Amino acid sequence: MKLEADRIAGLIIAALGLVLLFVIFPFAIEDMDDGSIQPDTLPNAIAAFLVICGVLQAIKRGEQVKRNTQELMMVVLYLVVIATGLFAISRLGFVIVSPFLAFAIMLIFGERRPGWLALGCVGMPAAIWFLVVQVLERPLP
Amino acid sequence: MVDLDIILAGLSDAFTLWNLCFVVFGVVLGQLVAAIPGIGPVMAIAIAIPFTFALDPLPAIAFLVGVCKGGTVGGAIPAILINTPGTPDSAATALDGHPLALQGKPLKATKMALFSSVTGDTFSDIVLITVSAPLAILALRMGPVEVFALMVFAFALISGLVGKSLIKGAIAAALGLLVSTIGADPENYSPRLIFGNYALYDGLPLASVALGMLAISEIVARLARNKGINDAAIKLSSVGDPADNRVSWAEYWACRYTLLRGAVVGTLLGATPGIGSTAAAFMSYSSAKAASKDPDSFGKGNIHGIAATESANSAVVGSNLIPLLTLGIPGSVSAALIISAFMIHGIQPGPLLFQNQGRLIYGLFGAMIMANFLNLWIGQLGLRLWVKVVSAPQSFIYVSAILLCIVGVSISEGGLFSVVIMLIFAALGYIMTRYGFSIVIFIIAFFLGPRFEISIAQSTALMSGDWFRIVEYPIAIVLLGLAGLTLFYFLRSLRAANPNISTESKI
Repeated sequence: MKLEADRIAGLIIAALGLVLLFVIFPFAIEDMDDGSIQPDTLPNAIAAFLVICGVLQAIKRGEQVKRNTQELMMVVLYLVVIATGLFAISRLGFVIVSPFLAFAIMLIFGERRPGWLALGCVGMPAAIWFLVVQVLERPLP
Repeated sequence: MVDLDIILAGLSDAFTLWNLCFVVFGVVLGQLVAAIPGIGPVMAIAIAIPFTFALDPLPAIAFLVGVCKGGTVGGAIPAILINTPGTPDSAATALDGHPLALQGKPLKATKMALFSSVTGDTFSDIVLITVSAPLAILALRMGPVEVFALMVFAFALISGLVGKSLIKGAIAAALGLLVSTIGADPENYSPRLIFGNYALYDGLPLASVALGMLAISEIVARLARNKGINDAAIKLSSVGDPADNRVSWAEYWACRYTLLRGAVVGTLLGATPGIGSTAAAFMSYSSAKAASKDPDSFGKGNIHGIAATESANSAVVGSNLIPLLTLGIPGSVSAALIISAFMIHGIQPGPLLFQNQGRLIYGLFGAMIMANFLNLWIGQLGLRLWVKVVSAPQSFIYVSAILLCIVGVSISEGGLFSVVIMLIFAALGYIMTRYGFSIVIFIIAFFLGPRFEISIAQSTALMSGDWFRIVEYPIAIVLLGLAGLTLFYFLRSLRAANPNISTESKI
């Protein structure tokens, strides 16, 4: 029997709730002597609620979500490109990196027209620089 | 009650050239951005908020209100012209708008959408201005126990109404609350779940979470779905007879009952947290069709269909602010974003707002009235222009939005760490959307989380730790009873929709 996506999601949510309750919260939340509720009261209640909802989600009949591996891979690719861009921005700055980041995204998307590439890679970063640095007088990252 | 001099001072604050400029800019931006399928006014507000830091509170909020109101008009343009709604609430507009455009009357359809939108919006603003101050006085009588019960009721309502599965809605709300507990706990200020990273001590920044989940996740998903098509978002078909390019007074007046019905439906649903403009538009459309003498003409280019949907979805914008201004509870994501803008400018939303910041609130109302008139005026002038401007290819639009998000979050939170958080929440937002968990509920719960926890702590202290004493608070009991009834109703309606299955997911 194929497990529906909803059921798998329910199991993951329930497992997350259990891990939070018994592994992460005892380690990452300190107890306090004062106060009407403890710092872990609400997180524990939420985690327990997640376990219940996850189990309910897992035991009921749900839907089979159509798998679209290509779309998922492309999402991952774009997120990796943006993350790489952020890393480069942290080293070299937005002004230097943003044209290359824009160029990479537009190329992957399939844009090949020089005019639009120039506008996206040079025009838009320049407009942002003007707005943030000159008009708002804030530093760019 | 708010004094008359405060009301007048607030309105006079609003009607200045400086504020007018920002409202104009907001309306132009809102109309333009909402006309681009996939961007929309919510994303525009999210991106614009960090850029309002340099402004005073009133022009900043007036600008955001302008974006919000402009968006109600702009979203109809692609729905009518290319049958691709710029915003989800314009989907119903496409039902009659697009057939009318195919009949060679695209400008008539877009202008009717504009007039209907402004009519509905103005109606709901009048209701907002009239009822919010008295409601805030009532809300001031509520203590922590009642606030706790009210939030439980709001969560139950939003979980059931947004999305199609109550359990998934509840999970999304719980995840939003969970994420809101990261940082110092609001009672003892002890660090929670920060894993030694004190940049998280103040909690996760709302701008990062909202932009990641609303903007970046949607943009990345749209980029990924591209099949090598990099066309302009909108193309305008040719227009013929000049009479087909305008809406006559007789045509507008013939739709008066439809417009009024739509405005009432939108205002009532907008004041209820979680329902939103999409449901209002479809409900108004259904009621207009049911009331029509010629229901078969609906879906084939009936101008009443456009009037019904646009008056309803625009009426939601004003009335959405009723729970926000009176109770501090945002009814939608755009309201949550506006509330975050309030907080960025040091304004605490809730019933005390009228008492402490009455002048600002009436300034906001003044800006809303201005925005309505400007929406009409700019819409008349700009409809043709927006179609040309948004003819830019998707690649340019999406890459511009990504760069603006990076810079916006970075300057609002003062570093790239918040941008990394935005990227993490973009991934989470994509996964949640893909598997049918509402990011709207998540963000509202995330926003309300700290207040919810404080209300629990204060209620516990007030009742000396004995929660059975809640019976001493009749309003809280009523609200909790309503929450229980709401959950029962949604569970029953799910069963009724799926008689063979006990609790079926319908995503």
